[in-house]
Amino acid sequence: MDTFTINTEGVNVAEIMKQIQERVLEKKKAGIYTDEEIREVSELKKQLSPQKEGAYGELALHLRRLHHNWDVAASSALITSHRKVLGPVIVALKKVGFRVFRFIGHPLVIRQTEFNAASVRFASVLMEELSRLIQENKDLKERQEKLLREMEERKRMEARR
Amino acid sequence: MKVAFVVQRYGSEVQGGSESLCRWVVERMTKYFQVEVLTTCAIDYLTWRDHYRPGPGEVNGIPVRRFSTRPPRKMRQFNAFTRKRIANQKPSLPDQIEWMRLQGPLCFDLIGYLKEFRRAYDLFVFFTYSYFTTYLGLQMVPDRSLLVPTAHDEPHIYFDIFKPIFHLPRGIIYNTEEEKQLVHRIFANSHVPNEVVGSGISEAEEPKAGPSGELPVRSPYILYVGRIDIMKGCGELVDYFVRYLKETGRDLRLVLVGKKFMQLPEHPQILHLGVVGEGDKRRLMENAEVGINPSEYESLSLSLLESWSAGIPVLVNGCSEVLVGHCLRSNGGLYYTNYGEFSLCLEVLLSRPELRKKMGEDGRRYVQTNYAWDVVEEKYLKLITASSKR
Repeated sequence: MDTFTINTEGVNVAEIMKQIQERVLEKKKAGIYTDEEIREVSELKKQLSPQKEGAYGELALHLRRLHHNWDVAASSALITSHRKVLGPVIVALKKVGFRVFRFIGHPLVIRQTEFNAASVRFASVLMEELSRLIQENKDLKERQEKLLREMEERKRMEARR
Repeated sequence: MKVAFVVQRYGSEVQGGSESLCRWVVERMTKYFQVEVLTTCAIDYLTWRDHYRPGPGEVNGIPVRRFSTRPPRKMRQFNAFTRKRIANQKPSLPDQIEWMRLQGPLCFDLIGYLKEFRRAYDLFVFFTYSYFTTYLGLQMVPDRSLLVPTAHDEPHIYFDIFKPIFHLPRGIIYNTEEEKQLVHRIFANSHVPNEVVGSGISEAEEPKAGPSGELPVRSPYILYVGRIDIMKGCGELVDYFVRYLKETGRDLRLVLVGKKFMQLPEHPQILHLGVVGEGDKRRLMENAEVGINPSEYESLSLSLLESWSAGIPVLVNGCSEVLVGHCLRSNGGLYYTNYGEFSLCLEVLLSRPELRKKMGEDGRRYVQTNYAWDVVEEKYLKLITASSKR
């Protein structure tokens, strides 16, 4: 920005815009990236883009769903029937069948529940680690950008001398 | 002298640039003339559904005569017709007339009243060229009408059906020099007496002091005020801003004030405050680094004038001739047509506090010279008086 000559005594917007448009044109003529930007792109770690932040948000949503649904042993089934006449009979039969299933399948249900709990714990720990890495990545990038800006500033000052 | 103001919607709670302008002008002209507003019962500009009761009434002491809209607009039908017959092609005359019918508001009672009682009024002032109330209403009373078109470079201004509207009235009042040039270019009607008047800025309420007088947002920030809508350029603004933050890492916020009609991303540096009172809006403007208007379609931009009135520079969409014209005449703002220009303009403004201060002062002077209410009032008074004598 130091290469812009802007007179703050009498501001001339047309003149300022001319300089800005020339600068943008220079950048385009030079290619999409300057040398500094090429170095920056190759050295930087990939930052999460808004799309990836969207994916991260989706991971959090799935984890929340897992937290709500892992405990199959504690879940209760609502037994109903839409039939008007036979409905009560069907409901009674279903209730009996459900009790038999629970009696026989109890060990299986317990094992499934334990497996679900372990999976959810694992997913939670993974999310925590992922969050920590994202933050670390962001901090490193900011630090790197700051260092690059300082380098650029120093180069410009040396070039003026 | 009795003057009727004809506008598609009227009321203190009606939101809209043209409608607000009409109301402010009416409330000032009542000092000089016997005024009456002729309008619909609608508050919603999408459906035109009746909200107020038809018949005579009052708003802030101004007599208002309302007429029912029948039938209300069906937006799905309007959008489908526009997509199929109007967009991306030169529509035929029958299609243009059908578009006008679907655009509405279909207020035949108002048109009938104009026809029957035209001699009871010395002059009719019509607001907004593109609505049915003006389109047909002006043609009922051309010899005693003034038009305030509030036009901008939108597809339907090129319709042939609008030619009579821009040639028939006794005079035309434009908001900006750019609007006037646009209309003269399209309709070759420079012979019609006209004046560039614009609008004054409404007085701000006294700012409401919070418990600590703090703003709801941390500085520094850039401020957008208006409908938060893709059609207002807000989608592009948000994209550019996020990209700018990523490239520069600046500690800067984008604050949006207004009703939201689009999704905003979840971003810690993009803040939507909703609709705020005039005093709070003024305080937010005074403390912003830059006011921003990303809209391509503007006929005046009251938010721009308000930003300058608050003493801050602006950054605007360079595709809008009106906004660019304001910036060049005032030296109070910069403009962009692509991301490169957006980011450079923002950098220039943010890194130079003395430049921001000077541009803000220049903008404020521009508004005081051209858009103070006494200046605007004088121009309306002159034109209305002259038009009724001819």
